[in-house]
Amino acid sequence: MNLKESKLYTVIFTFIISFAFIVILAFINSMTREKIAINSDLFMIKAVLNAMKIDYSTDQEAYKKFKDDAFLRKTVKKSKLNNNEYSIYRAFVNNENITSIINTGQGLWGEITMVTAFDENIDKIIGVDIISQNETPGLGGRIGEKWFKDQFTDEKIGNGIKMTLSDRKYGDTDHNNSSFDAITGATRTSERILFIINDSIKIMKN
Amino acid sequence: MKNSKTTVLIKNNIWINNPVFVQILGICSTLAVTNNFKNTLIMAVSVTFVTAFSNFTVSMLKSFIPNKVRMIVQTLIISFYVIIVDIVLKAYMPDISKALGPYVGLVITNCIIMGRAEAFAQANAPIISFVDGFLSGIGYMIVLLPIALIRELLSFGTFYGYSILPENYISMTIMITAPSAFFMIAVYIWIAKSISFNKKGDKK
Repeated sequence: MNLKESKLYTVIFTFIISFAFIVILAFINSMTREKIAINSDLFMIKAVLNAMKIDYSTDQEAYKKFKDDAFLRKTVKKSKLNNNEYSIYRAFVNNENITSIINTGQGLWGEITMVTAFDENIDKIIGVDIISQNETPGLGGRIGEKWFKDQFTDEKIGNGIKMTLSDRKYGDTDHNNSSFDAITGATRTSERILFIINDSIKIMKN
Repeated sequence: MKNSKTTVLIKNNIWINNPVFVQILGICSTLAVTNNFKNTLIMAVSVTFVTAFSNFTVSMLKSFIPNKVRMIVQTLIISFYVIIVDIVLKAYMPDISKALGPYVGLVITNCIIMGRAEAFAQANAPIISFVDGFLSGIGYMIVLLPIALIRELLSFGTFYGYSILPENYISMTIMITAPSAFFMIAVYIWIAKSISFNKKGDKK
């Protein structure tokens, strides 16, 4: 009993137990690291394809289409507005030349990285998708849901996108009004999305 | 003998000493995740898993743990399991991991887990501690799931992401935000206490 409460025992015990648990975690981590990296790559790949409305049925197909340089051409664009570099993807989909841009902006808690795809003349948005975000689950986190993203499909750009208040439960379905409905309870996150999309439009137009 | 002990544990964790509506533990996560049924279900399953296994491990190691560093070691064990849950979700259920985001890490701070480790696992054998931890998680689940169901239904008109209420249903914004969880828990406690008081009255 005394031995157990001695300082030396406490130090040795704490060291051993921390060491043992960390070794196990390191082992599990090294076993799954590759899979997690593939998953995060796939998220980016699928987001780009989704935004550009390129169909795929399996992960492998998505990967193959993304890596096919003859089909999806990747370039890096240096913006004249802020000198930052952006990844741009171009493809010929559904008889249209589509361009998409990956842009990162500040969200409510962390950064939001998203893809926005445009038609040839940047007159309309083809689609959007979220690559990564740390918004509040159940509130701002809903930007990843289909109904929210679908609001931007074939949306006319006009003088930029606006946020509107729709009386419908699932967002703004009018694709000619250059508007989308914010998420109830997550107005700040919706505003950040609005900012990133309009920023992407500016970068593409200049 | 063992059966009757398990029965007592079931009664205690689910009803008499329910971690949420009697002990008022784990309230932070109750307020945060319950506006979405799916997130709540995964959260509750994660908490159940972590409570059961951390209870088991604490109980296994209890005779070696010096009293002075008891709680730090418990925290170490709890975070060990939470990190495993996080890694497994990231590797095998990436969509769910994305949806829950930072909440998985916050399982560590759930007071129920530490509470059970300290109150039960420190003084009981491994297997029964595992059962106790598991049942505590179930006790947490049976409070959270009905609240999540009502909140998601009234706020978005959906259940598990599927639209249920008619298109012209006007969402109740308050049900999305945390205050509604306070109301819901209060109502839950009210109903649960009324039932248990009535039962006591009957016995007299």
